[in-house]
Amino acid sequence: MKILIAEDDELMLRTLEFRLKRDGHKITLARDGKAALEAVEKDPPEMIITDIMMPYSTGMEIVGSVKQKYGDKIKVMILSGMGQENVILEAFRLGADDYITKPFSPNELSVRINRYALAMSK
Amino acid sequence: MELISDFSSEATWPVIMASIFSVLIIGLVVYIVIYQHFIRLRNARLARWDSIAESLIMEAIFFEKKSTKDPMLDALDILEHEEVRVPKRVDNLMKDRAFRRRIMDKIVAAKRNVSGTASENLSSLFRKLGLDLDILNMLSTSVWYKQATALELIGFMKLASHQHLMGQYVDDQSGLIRMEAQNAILRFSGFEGLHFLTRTRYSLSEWQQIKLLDELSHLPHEDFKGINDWLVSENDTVVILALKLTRIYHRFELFQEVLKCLDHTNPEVRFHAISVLKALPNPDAVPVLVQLFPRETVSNQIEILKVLQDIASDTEIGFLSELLYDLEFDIRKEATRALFKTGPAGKEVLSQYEGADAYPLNRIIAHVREEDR
Repeated sequence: MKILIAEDDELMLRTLEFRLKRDGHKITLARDGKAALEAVEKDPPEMIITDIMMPYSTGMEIVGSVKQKYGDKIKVMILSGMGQENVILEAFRLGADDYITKPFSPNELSVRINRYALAMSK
Repeated sequence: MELISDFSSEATWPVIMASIFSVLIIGLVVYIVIYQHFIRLRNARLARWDSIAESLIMEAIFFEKKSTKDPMLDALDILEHEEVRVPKRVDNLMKDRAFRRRIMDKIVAAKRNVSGTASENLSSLFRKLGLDLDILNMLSTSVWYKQATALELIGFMKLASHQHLMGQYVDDQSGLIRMEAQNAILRFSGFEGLHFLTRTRYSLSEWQQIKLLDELSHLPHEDFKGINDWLVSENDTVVILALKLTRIYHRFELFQEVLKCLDHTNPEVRFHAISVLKALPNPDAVPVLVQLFPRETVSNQIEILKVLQDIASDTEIGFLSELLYDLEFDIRKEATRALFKTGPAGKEVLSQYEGADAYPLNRIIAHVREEDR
């Protein structure tokens, strides 16, 4: 599956890239919201994993913009901190498909992504 | 001759000034070039350090113990304890204090983002790099914020071998040090860690109480002991926290102890005691609350009425009806609500009440009826 990861924390970005590449996914990285939206325009992925707080454009703006233009063709998963229930609800209102709260288990994330990949391949 | 001397002095000064100025400019340029060179070197070194640290952290996050192919041995974990291998160059870099600080910050930041095995592996890496010794050094300074940070990290990184140090800080005179030690002890010992409440001399701030309750909310519920002792503590904030624990964990067996707190000299303690009775509904509390009502502060009276809304019966209709004349708007409002909730008899009294059609009672009754729909 083609996955775009948008995250401004370099270590987190590399961790997610490493785990998901190991599962056989094709990964594109974006270190801020603007780069993420540009990457989507250039080569739309099948899934976006995005942090909420990022420079230039937030994860919410990415959800809103991507879902408005591509609808269900691109799945969006939000990475949020603990205690951000309002943010998660707002993300779902904008069309986000799933969320995962930090701290999270990379293995759990991997299982969730692989389920999406399996469902989309059917 | 005089002419030449005049000319030379007139011509030399500008030359001297220009020379000095040029030397200064050249000096400044040389300084900037050297400074930029050092900055570049420093940035390159930091980037190299970051790359080395991040690679090691990632290795730790995804480290998996090799299976022994013997499920019994795996389950018992009795073979040599496997850990992430630390490369020699990292070992060498660990002699540099700045690198140690940098990798410590990175491991802590990474651990805040991951959970499960990955999180445990990071704690293990932290210990393997000997960073717990840095924490002990921080703890031994006399700088309060370094001590508080060290205590927070001991709890956060689950450095169980230093758990015994917490005891001496849970009642420290510095509020922040106390707070971090108390939170850390709960991370290690769970509800058992609350026993510091028995001997704490200082007040627990509202914020600290929230932090402690939050820390406990992540733990599996258990039938912890000690609340009955804390309910009679000489430290009023400990009594308040004990009342909150009674409410949150629905400790019905402490009903009598909570009733005794209604006689406490501190109105804030009594407020929380009244509030707990909402979570431990028991009709035996009704006569006690009704008797207490005239002696209470306005905010406590309002709280009593809120509790009565859940447990009052027709017997209290007379008492509640009298409060419809009270000067305090909130008391009239809560009394109306309580009367309404007693059932048909209370509703009947309310509709027959002579001031029921007049403002503001007519609006209160309309509002309460709306809530009932």
